[in-house]
Formats: sequence, C-alpha cells, structure tokens
Amino acid sequence: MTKEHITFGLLSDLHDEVLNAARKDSLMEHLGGCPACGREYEELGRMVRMVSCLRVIGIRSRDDFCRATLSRVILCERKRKRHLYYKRVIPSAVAAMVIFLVGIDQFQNGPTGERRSGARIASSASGGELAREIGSAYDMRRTMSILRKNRARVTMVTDGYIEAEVPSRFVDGIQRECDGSFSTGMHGFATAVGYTEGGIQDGLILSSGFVHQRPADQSRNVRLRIILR
Amino acid sequence: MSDKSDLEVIDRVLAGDIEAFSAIIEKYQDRIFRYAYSRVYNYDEALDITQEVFLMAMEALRSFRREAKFSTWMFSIMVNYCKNYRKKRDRFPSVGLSRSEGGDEFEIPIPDERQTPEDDVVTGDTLRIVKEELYALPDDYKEILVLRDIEGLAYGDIARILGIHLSNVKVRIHRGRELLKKRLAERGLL
Repeated sequence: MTKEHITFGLLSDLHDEVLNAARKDSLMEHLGGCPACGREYEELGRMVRMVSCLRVIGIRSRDDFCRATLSRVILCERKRKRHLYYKRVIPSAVAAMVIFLVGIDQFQNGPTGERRSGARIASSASGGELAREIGSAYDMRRTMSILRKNRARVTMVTDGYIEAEVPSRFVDGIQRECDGSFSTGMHGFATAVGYTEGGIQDGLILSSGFVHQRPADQSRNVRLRIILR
Repeated sequence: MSDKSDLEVIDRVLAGDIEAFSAIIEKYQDRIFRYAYSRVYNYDEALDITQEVFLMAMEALRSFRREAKFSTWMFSIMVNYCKNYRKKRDRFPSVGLSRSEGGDEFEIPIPDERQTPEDDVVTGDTLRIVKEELYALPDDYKEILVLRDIEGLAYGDIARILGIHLSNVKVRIHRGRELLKKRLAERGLL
C-alpha cells in the first residue's frame, strides 16, 4: 500500500475506470486503509452522481420541438434542392443563350466577321422613286443621324423606308457621308432623289451624283426616300 | 437507438425519406439542448440553438463519412455551433426581453425527491444548486463536465468532439471536478 494520499486526478481516473488493473488494485488497497482518501473518493462519487442527475433537464414536451424542427428541416431541404436545381440549370441556360447569340451574329456577319452587304440598289416598283436600302436597324439609326445633321426634315419612317425633305445643297453632303459610312453598307450605291414639286420624280440617278442638280435647284427642297430592306 | 440504427436512419434520410430524420431529432434533442443550455443559460436561446444544430446536421448529412460514430459527429456540430454562436453574441450583444443577468426563469423539471441507485436523496433544491455551480464554472471545465458526467461520453469521444488531446481531456475533467467539488462543499452539499 502506498503511504501518500492519492491525488484528486487519480481519484477521478479511478472513478471513471480509465486506469489499468494493477494501478486500480493498488489504489483500492490504499483507499481501504486511508479514511481521508476514502472520504474524498466517496464525495467525488456523490458529486458525479448529483451532476449526472441534471440529465433530467430537457425540452418541455409542450413545445412540440420535434415536429417544429422537422418542418423546418423539410422546408430547408426543399430550398436546398431548388437551389441545386437552379445552380445546375442557370449555367446551362446562359451557355445556350451565348451559343444562340453567337449563332445569330455568325449568321448576320458570316464566319469571317465581315458584315454581309445590307444595301442593294432597289428596283423601284413604283418606277423612279428615290431609293436606297439599308440592311439593319443600325443602318437606319445611322441614316437618321446623317439626315438630321444635314438639316433634313424626316417626314415619314416606316418599316420599309425613310422619307425626308432636305435643301438640295445638302444632298451631296448626305451622299458623301453615306458613301463614307462603310458600316451602313451604302458605299458605292446609287441613291435616287426627286423634287418636291409634283411629288417624287420618276427615274433613277446613278452614283456619280446623288442628285442631278441644276443651279435653280440650289435653294429648293429635295424630297428623298431611302428604302430599307 | 444504437449507432447502427442511427446509420440506418441516415441511409433512409439520404434516400429521400426526410421524415425519418425525426428519429434522430427525438434521440438527440435533449442532449443537444442540455449542452446548449449550459452554454447560454437561457431556455429559448438554447431551443433555437438546438434547432439550428439539427438543420446544420441535415445540411451536412451527405458529408458524414462514417469514420466516427454518428453521435460524435453530431456533438461536434453542436460544439462548433455553440462556439460560433457565443462569438457572434459577444460581438453583437442584444438585450433580451425576459432575460436577467442571473439566468432565466426556466425551472428544471425535477421531481421533489429523486432516489438514485446509491440511495442518495437528491432534492430539487440540491439539483438547482448543482446546476448553478456547474454552470458558473469556466467554459472549458463546464463543457467537459457536461459531456462526461451528464451525457456520459467516453474520454476518446470527448477528445474528438472538442478537438483536443486525450491527456488534455483528463486534465480538464480533474480540474473541473476539483473546482466544482470545492464550490459544492462551500454550499454545504458535500
């Protein structure tokens, strides 16, 4: 039997039975002959038993905790599944959209990136109307901008054409700008113009002159129509 | 319910039978609540924490690798959640409507006289004092005594749950018990 008192740590280990058999026997032998250590060990045991009685602490049954928690768990699970679904679907949708847009772009501009010709000489069905065709909404906006800049008064815009009145002295400027505007695809094409008097004049004037002007026409307003494709 | 039956329930839940999770909730709700209550000492907060722990466990269920016991994994979530909760609460303290400094109004549902197998008569008043003194211990000692002496977890499981070495577990248990014993003796219980 050991003469020294057992440390509290050893008593605690002994209580929890985490010592090997030899050590345990030695300590038990000491406890049998040492009232101080025996009392300490007994008090430790009582205390642990009292603490373990706190196991009665628990959730009040009336709170119906289990059902409430399960409801929340089910809700969260549904939310998580929805989130996972969107996480899978959204990138696919974005990818599909990108492919679609790239496809459209390729279709419009061709695989080399060159823009397809958007304008062509119109064969004027009414015979002799001033005509020019533009291939896209961009061209339309660009044309409107050129017209406004050259003091043209836009009189009509339809899906098919733009009509405007412009002092005849600005007509050449309009043609220059249109010719210089490669993006509009107007370069090199003839544009026909007519005179306001008596409505739009028949006939088509080729690209060497946007308008066949006479000195007397300088102050007159010219009415032109640009046909959109 | 053994750990094996825990795993069976988990398999059912993972297969889509979410309702089966109620078995896990029923089994662990009081144990998690007791730990949470020892940390926050407020019934409503402890109830919220318990619920959040189950939600987190459900969310992380697919990541449970079955290397440790399910109960150990569950308690690890509980301990980490409580730690983070305390940090957050300390950072953003709020004024509770019914909370007082000395604890909450929650009374332990203890019968007036409780007969233990060792013939110790533990009254409600005794348990209230034990509860007060246990919860007044430093956090390190308190949580380890709750896990060991109330929940009855093994030293190895406690080490895994708290993420500390086994020798450290032993030392904390010794010191915690020593301090608690001293305080209970001062209150005339030992």
